[in-house]
Amino acid sequence: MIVAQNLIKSYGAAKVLHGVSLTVAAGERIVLCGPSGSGKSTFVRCLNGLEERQGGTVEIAGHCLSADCANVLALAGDVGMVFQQFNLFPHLTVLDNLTLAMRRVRRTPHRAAEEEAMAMLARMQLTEKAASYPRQLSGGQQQRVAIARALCMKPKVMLFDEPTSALDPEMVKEVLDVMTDLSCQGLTMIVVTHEMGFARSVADRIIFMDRGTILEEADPETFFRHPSHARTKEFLRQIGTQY
Amino acid sequence: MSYEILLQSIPIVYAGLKLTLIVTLAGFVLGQALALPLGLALTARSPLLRWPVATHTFLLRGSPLLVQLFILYYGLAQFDAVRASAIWPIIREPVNCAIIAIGLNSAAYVAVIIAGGLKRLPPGQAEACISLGLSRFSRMRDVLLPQVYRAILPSIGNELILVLKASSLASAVTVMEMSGAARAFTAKTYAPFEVFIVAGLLYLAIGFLFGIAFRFVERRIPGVAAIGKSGRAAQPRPQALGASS
Repeated sequence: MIVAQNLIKSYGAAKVLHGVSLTVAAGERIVLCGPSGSGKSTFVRCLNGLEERQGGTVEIAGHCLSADCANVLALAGDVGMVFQQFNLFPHLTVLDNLTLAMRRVRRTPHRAAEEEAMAMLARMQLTEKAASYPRQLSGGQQQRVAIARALCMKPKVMLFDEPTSALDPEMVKEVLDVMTDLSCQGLTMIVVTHEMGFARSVADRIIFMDRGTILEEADPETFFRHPSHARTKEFLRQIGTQY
Repeated sequence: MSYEILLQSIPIVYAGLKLTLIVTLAGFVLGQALALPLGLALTARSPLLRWPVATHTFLLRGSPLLVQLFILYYGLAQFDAVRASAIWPIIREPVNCAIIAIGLNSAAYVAVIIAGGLKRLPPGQAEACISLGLSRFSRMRDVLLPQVYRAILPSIGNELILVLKASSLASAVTVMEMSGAARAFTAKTYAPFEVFIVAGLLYLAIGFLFGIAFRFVERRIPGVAAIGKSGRAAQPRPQALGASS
């Protein structure tokens, strides 16, 4: 589903990714973690063409992404993205946020798009918020709307870039619950997160990045019990995971 | 101050009202229509688009409107090529000249406001569009520009008042709008006070009505409140309301 080879990304002289490679099978659930500045966000943003890259190849959901991201629109919703800051469209109602891309990109007729969107909102238990504007919702509700918006495009891959980092602690759970729910449905997912409980229960594979390289990748059991690198151990100790 | 002259001058100024409204509204609409493509060009990646428009806005914002009006009305007529061209029947008319000069001038100001509004939108908005596969056109039409226009609506209302006041310059090229009519009346009666009081009050009244109209529009557009008011989200808010000219 995803084949990224030798990704190189730099901002001027500062090199952010030093040749990162990753292969993800269909239906696989990957958690990406690491200290801030390790390049994990940049890496997922390279995968869906939000960041140009200086080297390497990306093949995702059946599309080859060019290095300058000129063909990024060919992905056309096949790769869903959930952002730390939600990035909902503030001038549109929740329902219009969901239907916009369905109508414009998938050319779904208005009525059908609204029916699909309402079904998606019902799944997220947000039916009564359909006519609200994003600013009227709590952070957790906004992030669930953002997830619903991406899912409406029927993506083959979902990327989550620190989806709970901007939320108040009491809202983290409702978002993680939705993501756990999704992970049970065979969707290919890459999740950048510091929520190690989520990583442990959901991930097929955990990838630890540090200073622009993949330092370690393992199944959750091995990753938490027997991390092989000193940096991984230090990271786990710093974020206070006790397993 | 003579009440007799005051009463006399009311119909005089009123006769210019129609031309004032024509010049104001036509100039405003022309300005808005031109401002959008110019504003988009100002934010374009290509310097070939950006530089000519940046030069244009620099020239039009940096020199007095009266000078621009004279150049357009008296200056261009010197050239045979202009007099022979298809636009001559249009710019031969002083009213059209005033509308074009005011429209071009207003477009330069509003283009800068639009470009500023676009730059102040959080980059996450465009990124969300890209990740959903929205085309560049749809991104602008459905997501970015609606937010920009909602944010700059007060500035556009302001611009309409500025254009109204600028329309008084049309009298300099013989257009008998309200100020022109008032000046002609003064030349006959040597009594400038009364007639300009009347003109000033009428300008105030029109501006007041424009203001009400804009607040009405503002309330009718869905989502304006949702953008302007602060919510409790952790999202950094675009400070686009302060877009200055």
